[in-house]
Amino acid sequence: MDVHLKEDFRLLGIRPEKWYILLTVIITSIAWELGVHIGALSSLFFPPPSVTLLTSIKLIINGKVATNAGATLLRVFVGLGLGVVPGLILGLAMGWSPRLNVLIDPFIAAAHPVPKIAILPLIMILFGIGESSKFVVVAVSTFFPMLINTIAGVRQISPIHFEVAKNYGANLFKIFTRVILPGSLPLILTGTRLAFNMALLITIAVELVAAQKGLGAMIWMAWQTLRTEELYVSLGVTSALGLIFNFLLQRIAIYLAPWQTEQRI
Amino acid sequence: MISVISRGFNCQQIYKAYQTRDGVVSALEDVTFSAKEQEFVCIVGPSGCGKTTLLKLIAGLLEPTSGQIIFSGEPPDDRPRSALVFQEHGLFPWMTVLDNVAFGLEMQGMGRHERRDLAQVFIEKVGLFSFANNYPHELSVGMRQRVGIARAFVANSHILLMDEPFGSLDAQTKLVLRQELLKLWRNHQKLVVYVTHDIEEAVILGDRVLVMTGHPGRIREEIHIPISRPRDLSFKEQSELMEIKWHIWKILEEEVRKSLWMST
Repeated sequence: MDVHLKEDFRLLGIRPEKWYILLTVIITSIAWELGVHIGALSSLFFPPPSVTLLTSIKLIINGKVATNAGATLLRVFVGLGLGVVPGLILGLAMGWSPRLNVLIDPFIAAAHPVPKIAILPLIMILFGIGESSKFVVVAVSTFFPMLINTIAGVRQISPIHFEVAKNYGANLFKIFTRVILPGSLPLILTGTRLAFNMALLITIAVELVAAQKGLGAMIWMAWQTLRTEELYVSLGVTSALGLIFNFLLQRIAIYLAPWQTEQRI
Repeated sequence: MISVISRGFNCQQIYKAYQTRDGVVSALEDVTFSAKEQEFVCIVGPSGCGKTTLLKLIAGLLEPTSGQIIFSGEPPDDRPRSALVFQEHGLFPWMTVLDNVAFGLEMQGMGRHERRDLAQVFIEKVGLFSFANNYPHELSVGMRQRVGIARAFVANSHILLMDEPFGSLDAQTKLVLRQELLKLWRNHQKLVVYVTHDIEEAVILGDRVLVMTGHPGRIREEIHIPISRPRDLSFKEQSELMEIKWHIWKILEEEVRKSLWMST
């Protein structure tokens, strides 16, 4: 007897679960829209989705979204680069060498718990009120998640792997490239993702208080002029950026560390 | 005439002590034995008798507190002197089967294509032809141990050190892998030091069995297994084996019982 596997049901190539998400969005939007029209929701605080949609189209066409999102992303990625690279290098060194770890750990333990946004005034005194102080605050805030994850990544490598490498005659360079780097890679990638989210958070926070451009500045401006629909648009763009880059970083992690994918899913 | 020195080693009065929180604990005391080229030496003893420590000393991963291990007939090139097969988890999870097996060759500085070709030959020998590009987590425990064995053989060192390599396998897989191991051993003429807590396994595999007891670890007796190879285990051989097994068990029984009382 032939066995027929039930084919995955798809509508327009999209699986039903995905349609449910879309359905939820549509129903919520319609309810919201109706709620404003019958006067149950105040349009000042909860502008109807149709208005927000039109506003977002307008803001995309006149380039306001692109300019502000661009300014935010520039700060996020320059800061990320400046923070993640030293965090990675120091983390590998501290994970590998217990002596170096003992030496530096007290400083890390003291500096790590300070909320990074709190050091903005200090950084502005040191680096001025221009872009560089914003890069530095973001860099400092991304440095720690990267550092701590990298140290943990090196530490959790089983001693057996070092013994195998030594047994087969690996020198220090080979131990680094064939054991320490790949062994800590999964946690380094997790650290990168946490650092990105931290960078986005801190960038928006910095822009709320000290910037003319950027999504944070756009949110603040919309609040001050009580243009609520613009507030919603900038919030939407911010969360979309967070979603997109988290998704991309997850894909990159699966590509770079394929042996980890099974455990992760 | 070229004088050929037998490739083997000689452990002379090895002592190994560890510093722990409760003070100094002696793991090995006065361990003396030798092993020569192409021999299959089994070390059997209850858990915690210092078998793994002894293996790591021979592998050069640990230094003895006193005593020395003298190797004869050193390989002239930079091949590793010995290759260790670990209990489990010895494979690199971030490397494919192919790269795991080729690891020893890579450390010897062999080129990428050359070492991959050679590794492929040994992967086929252990019957994992179609898994060369899989990662270890995609294999069963038995398959992983075969990868570990292929990696040790391909490195082409003269001494193979095995630390309960089949300890976590089911009985049938164990039987098959033992046969595969013996076949590889015969074809590649290596000195194998095989550590196990399974008396039967030690007696079936070894030319010689060293019986160890623990606290501190000592060699209590050295037993030659007089059964010829290949061991097809006829009725007469089986009863011979039973006798040796019984003899070893009598040496170990007292200690095993003692450790049970101590832990309850």
